Amino acid sequence: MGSTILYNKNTLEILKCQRKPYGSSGMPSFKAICMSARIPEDMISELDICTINESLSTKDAKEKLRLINGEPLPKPFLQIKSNKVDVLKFKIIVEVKNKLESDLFDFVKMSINGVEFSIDLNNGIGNKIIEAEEPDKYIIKCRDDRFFSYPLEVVVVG
Amino acid sequence: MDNHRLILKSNINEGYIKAEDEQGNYSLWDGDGLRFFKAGFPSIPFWYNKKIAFGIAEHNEYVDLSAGKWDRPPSVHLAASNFPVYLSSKSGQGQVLDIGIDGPVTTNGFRVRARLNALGSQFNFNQERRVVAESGTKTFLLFYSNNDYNCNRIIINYTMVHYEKSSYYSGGKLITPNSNAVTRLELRKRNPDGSWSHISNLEGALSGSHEWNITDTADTGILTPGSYGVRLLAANNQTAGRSGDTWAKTQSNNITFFFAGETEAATGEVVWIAVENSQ
Repeated sequence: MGSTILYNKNTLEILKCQRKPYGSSGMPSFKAICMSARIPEDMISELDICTINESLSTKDAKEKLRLINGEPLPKPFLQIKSNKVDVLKFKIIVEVKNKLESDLFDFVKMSINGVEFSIDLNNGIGNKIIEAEEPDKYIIKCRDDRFFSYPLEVVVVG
Repeated sequence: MDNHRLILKSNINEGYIKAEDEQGNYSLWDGDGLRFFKAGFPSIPFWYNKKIAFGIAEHNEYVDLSAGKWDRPPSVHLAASNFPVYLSSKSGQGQVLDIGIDGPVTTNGFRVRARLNALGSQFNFNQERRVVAESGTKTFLLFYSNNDYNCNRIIINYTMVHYEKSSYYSGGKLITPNSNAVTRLELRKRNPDGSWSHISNLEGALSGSHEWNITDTADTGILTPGSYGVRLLAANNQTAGRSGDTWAKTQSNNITFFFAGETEAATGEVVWIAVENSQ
């Protein structure tokens, strides 16, 4: 188990996460992971690697992890809940969990059925009342890559 | 359980260990590896693999075996692991899984190819660039395929490329700039490090000097499979002492790139197994 993460030292962006093979091999080297990510020669000095114990794909690593001082840490989890307020009206409640003391989040970018909006956060908590135009199924997603989150499905009935 | 005598021999000079039973069955372990010979079949070894590794790799991933200190390049076996198998956005095209090894397999590793390809993809380009005539010759990029496409043939159809000179008044006279443009369609190939290599200028396609409309087709013929891009360049020539504007533009939907063969539509993951054979 384990993976090597290639990231940009300046932006802390995760570029590639490569899983350790089993058997007669080891953790992917810096050179190998740069080859995997097709990094041009002149960019290599801006990059570095770190390792994690989990076996993650690049997509999963980008979704779930962030880098702080070169250390891979879980992204804060954004919990999304909803309450019915009135007919065709409901409240979206968001709460940031697993955040560090140094984390300051003023807002979070969200979407409802693909339409983007933001919710202001106060101490990691925020809410927004949504008035639906018609009864339907609404998918609420976090569109902010600072957080890891699961989408919420809200069914509004007339 | 019967008791059997086992003869164990080792030869330091020749570097082997041999274990043989009373019936003549024996195993031999030397620098070539470990194998077993049944009695009476001295030329038919049953080989035992020296090294084995396996894992999951994404498209384009270079699997690193260097830490395993392999003596021989392995044979590599791949199977689809995590793939999109149908894209509705490519519903008009056949879609195939393309799994394989790109480049050589060495003792240090190998590069995995794991993608969903769409067959015979077609793209339309329509861009307009205004180029200002200056003294001498200046080259302008008119348009380019903004992605590279994995394919083995590119056919370009276009109906018109239009150069339009903007006349202007100077000293009470209507002046038409004495400028024209020479266009060049360039085929480029994407390198593994992300840079581009010039492959060729496509003959018969937009090549030469044009002031007005042209219609033509360019066909690269069969190419080595790879990632290709195309760009159209215009060199604007202007007679010294006269200045003005030249519009170089392609008209609506007039250039169609047909990337024949298989074009990458999505990527996936494969399970790989690398086995170092003993001989």
